[in-house]
Amino acid sequence: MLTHLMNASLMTLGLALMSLAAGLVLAILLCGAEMSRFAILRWPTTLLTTVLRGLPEILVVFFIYFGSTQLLFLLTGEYLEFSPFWCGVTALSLLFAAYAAQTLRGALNAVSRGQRQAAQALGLPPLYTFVRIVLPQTWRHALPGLGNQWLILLKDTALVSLIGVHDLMYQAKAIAARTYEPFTWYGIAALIYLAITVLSQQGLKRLRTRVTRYD
Amino acid sequence: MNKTLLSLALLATFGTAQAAEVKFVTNAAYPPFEFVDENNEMQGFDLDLARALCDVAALQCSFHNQSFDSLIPSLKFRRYHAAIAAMDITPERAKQVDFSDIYYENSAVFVAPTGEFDGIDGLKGKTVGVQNGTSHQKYIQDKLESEGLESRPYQSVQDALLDMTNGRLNAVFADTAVVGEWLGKNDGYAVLGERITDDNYFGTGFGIAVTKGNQELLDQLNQGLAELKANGSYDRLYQKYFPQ
Repeated sequence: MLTHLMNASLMTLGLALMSLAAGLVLAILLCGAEMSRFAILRWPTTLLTTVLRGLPEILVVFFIYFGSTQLLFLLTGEYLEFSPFWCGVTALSLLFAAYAAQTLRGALNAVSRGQRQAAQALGLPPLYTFVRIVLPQTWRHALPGLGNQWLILLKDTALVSLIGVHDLMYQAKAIAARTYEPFTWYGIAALIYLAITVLSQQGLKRLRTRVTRYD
Repeated sequence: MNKTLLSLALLATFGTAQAAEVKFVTNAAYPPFEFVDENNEMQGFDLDLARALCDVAALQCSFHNQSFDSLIPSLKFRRYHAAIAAMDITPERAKQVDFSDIYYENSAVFVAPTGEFDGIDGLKGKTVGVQNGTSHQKYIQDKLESEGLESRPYQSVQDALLDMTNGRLNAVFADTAVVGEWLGKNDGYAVLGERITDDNYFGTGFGIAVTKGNQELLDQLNQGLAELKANGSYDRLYQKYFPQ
């Protein structure tokens, strides 16, 4: 039973890391689009983040899992399978991105204008300025916020147990139903979640000391 | 993201290539009909029966686990081909999906702390737990709520039973066999009143649900069921899970 819980924990971690990777890329794109000079990029992005941040997480998960196939079914009359895992990753990364984009935007704005102006005065090219001067300072501002988002994401993975992903929550539920010992097994699941979050908090601490090493 | 697209594409092609596979869905939190065992395999009367059916009908089958209230919608949208989940055949459900012949005769009971109530009438003004989307929930809503009995829906009957042991519920209303299995492992609780059957809700029996219009699969399942009953396999299975 413990091996199953282990496997389920790995599934939870895999889900979270996949969603983090996809979510970060998406967040950067959303942030870029939202700060863009072009209204045609800005408006749809604002709409998307408003909707995503305005809906309960579980509704987003259900919309993507049940809604995607239903929509395709209504459009084509054929059933197309989307695996619960990838639906879960899609939903979680969208949710992560919607919030993280705001964190990134705030962090970018927090880098003082003087830094850019100084680089300009030195005649550095704009892209170089952005990558080597603005971005490293952005991470420093963004990291606490992103760290929070990561912890929230990690725990939101429990939602995808409801669409049949064999994650930690799903496994705990299955064992609890069979053994009639819900307290024990949900308790063990809680300890595993806690262990993962404590470990990632340690990781985040190391990252923070690294990005702030010049302070 | 490339990986996502790739795997989606793979899944899509896989799905069409394996068109012969019959996808069964259940809600594996309902012992003894369906549950997940120590090896993380889905087991139970329904699962054994479905596997035996797949054998005699020479079908390639796979089994999936979803929440009970999503089973009929996912059949309608053809996510799965068949649902075997201790599902009562009711006129309302028969409008949404097609049912096989009855494979298990069923009744429902109330379970409550021993000696707390005198019969079902004693439950007036009390709260009774049911599984969401079940015929038990519907029965209480239609027949008993007017008499002051309140039903509270849970994601699984196990959650409802747990909340009764916590004292939040006065009773739970569920299938006789499921309650029987639970009573075997929990002291201090007993069946309240008589078994209830009502053809509009339960008591007709359990059937395997298939997407409406999938007559081919329905025929295969019914023939298989008849064969299992004729050759004694069904009785052996019944004895295994419901020893008299």
